[in-house]
Amino acid sequence: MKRVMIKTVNLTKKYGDFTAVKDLNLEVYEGEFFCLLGPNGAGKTTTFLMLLGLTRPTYGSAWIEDCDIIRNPLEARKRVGFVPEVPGLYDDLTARENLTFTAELNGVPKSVREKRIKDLLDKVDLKGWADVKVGKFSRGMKQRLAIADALIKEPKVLMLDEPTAGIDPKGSEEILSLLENLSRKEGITILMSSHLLHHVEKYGDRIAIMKKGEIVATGSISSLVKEENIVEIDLEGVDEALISELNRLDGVKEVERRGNKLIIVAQRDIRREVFDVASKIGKKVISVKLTQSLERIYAKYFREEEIR
Amino acid sequence: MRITPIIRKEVADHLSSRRFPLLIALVLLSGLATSYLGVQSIVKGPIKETEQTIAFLRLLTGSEETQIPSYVYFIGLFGPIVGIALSFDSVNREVSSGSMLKLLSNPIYRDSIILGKIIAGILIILLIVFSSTGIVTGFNILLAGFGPTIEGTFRIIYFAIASFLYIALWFSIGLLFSIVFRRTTTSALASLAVWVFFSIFIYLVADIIATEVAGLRYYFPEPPTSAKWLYYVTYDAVIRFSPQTLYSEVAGYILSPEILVIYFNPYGGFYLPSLKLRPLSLDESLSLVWPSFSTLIASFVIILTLSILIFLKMEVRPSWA
Repeated sequence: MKRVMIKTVNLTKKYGDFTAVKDLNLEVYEGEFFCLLGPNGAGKTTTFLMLLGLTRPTYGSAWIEDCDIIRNPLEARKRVGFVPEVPGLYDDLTARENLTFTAELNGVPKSVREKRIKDLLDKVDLKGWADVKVGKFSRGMKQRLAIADALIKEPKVLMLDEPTAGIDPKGSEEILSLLENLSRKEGITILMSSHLLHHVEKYGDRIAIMKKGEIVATGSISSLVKEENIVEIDLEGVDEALISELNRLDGVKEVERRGNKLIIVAQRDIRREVFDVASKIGKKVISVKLTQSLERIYAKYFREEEIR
Repeated sequence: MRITPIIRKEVADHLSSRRFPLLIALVLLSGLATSYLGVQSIVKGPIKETEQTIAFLRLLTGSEETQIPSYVYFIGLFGPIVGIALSFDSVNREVSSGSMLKLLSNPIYRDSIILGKIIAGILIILLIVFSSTGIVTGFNILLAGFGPTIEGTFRIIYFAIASFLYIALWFSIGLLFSIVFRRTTTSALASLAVWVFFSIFIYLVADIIATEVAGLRYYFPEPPTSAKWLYYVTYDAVIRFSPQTLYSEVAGYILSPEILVIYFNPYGGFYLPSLKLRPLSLDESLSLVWPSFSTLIASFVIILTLSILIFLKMEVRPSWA
């Protein structure tokens, strides 16, 4: 059984009457690539700040590995590397100087510091940029350097707040591949917040969808999408009788009419039953399509425009 | 506490910034210029050995006969700018750039960060004050042809310590505002507003308060001596809230051993030497300045403590979140 690296129990943060995070219960396992999904204001950054011991929860508990973040935030921060959305590197220092400064703050012994910095710069593909001032770096390069900076203490957990925000698709892919390698090959637990669904779908092992400070859905991507089957049926003569019949089917959550099409949201694959019902009441079916998509789930919670 | 890397980085930041050469040039050039002009009016001919200390120290304070502003005057004027320039953006700039959040995510205490910044600032102020005072003193020796006695040297050292405290007090004010205000422009403006108030408006405010307390408006044509005395006492008490007044007192007493009592002229803002008996010894001068000296220290410590407490309690969130 895999070890739990991040655990929260009823973690809550209130600012006056406003609840930024409410009863957050989360378990992230060793070597897992876990994604927090949610729009701005969902409570993702506040969750990170609490997990880093930088803001005190109103109530609830959280642990990094076996370390209580409230009682011993310093020890917890030894185990966590953090990459904020804006990297926060010093533009007037070189890449090497930035990493050296962080290494000193983390008490990395001088004897291993130089080698570790060299290895990390190799790892994030900034080998030739060690002595260039960070102010000259592109956004993607800064983000990669920020990852190296977070890894200098050899953390067991890496937390990243929107690491691909504002970065071009190629740069984003590079960063996510790097994170995937860290998770798969080096066993580093990754907790990443993002709103880019295709990234999460491609790289994440499990996700939690946050809305107004609460987790509204959590699980592996495959299990989540299986719970949200969208059957799109194109047929001649859509009427209320057909909609009513479809609504009676087991597992159907929602039936929506769009011209000659019906969009059916169900907990399982109901294509065959849909076809049977339509045939039974004499409707000619032109096509039936099944969609299982994380994007649809996200849209459902945040009432965004449907994707398909 | 891993404070050394923070101190080292902050000192390096100050030394490599564009502000540092400007600040040191500001202090140094004003010192050298006033020395050059002052020496021509103060050292007009041969000076007796017994009077050399007083004459040498006057190169720093200026004399009553000349209208040339002195080195002490310029420190009093530019000191706040130096202090504020070193600190007005030291915290809020890091918060808005995101580096504070990254810094705090490391296993270090918050105290280390703020103390690192304070110690680095203090080291830079020490460097500016002692190097410029040393250079100006050396320049004065070259120009005057004689140097200070041992007692005179100690007076200059005490003057440098007072100058350091004065600039450090303004540094602490700038630091406090850089913690309280999120925008660097706001903290700079707030610091400058405090400086303008205590440099200019405090004298107007003191005059109004003292006039009302003494009831000078109700006496015509001439107020009685008791009312005048009450006016001066009140005025004197109010202007002592200004760091500039405290610094002028300390520098004046330490560098002018011939002055026994200092009164503040409400209409001119400068001290008037009264009884001239014998020059004061260094101990006597120090005991006279101690109340003002200790007030400078206390103000500096109180504002720094307040800054540290606010910083420890402040919620550092990414500005974009």
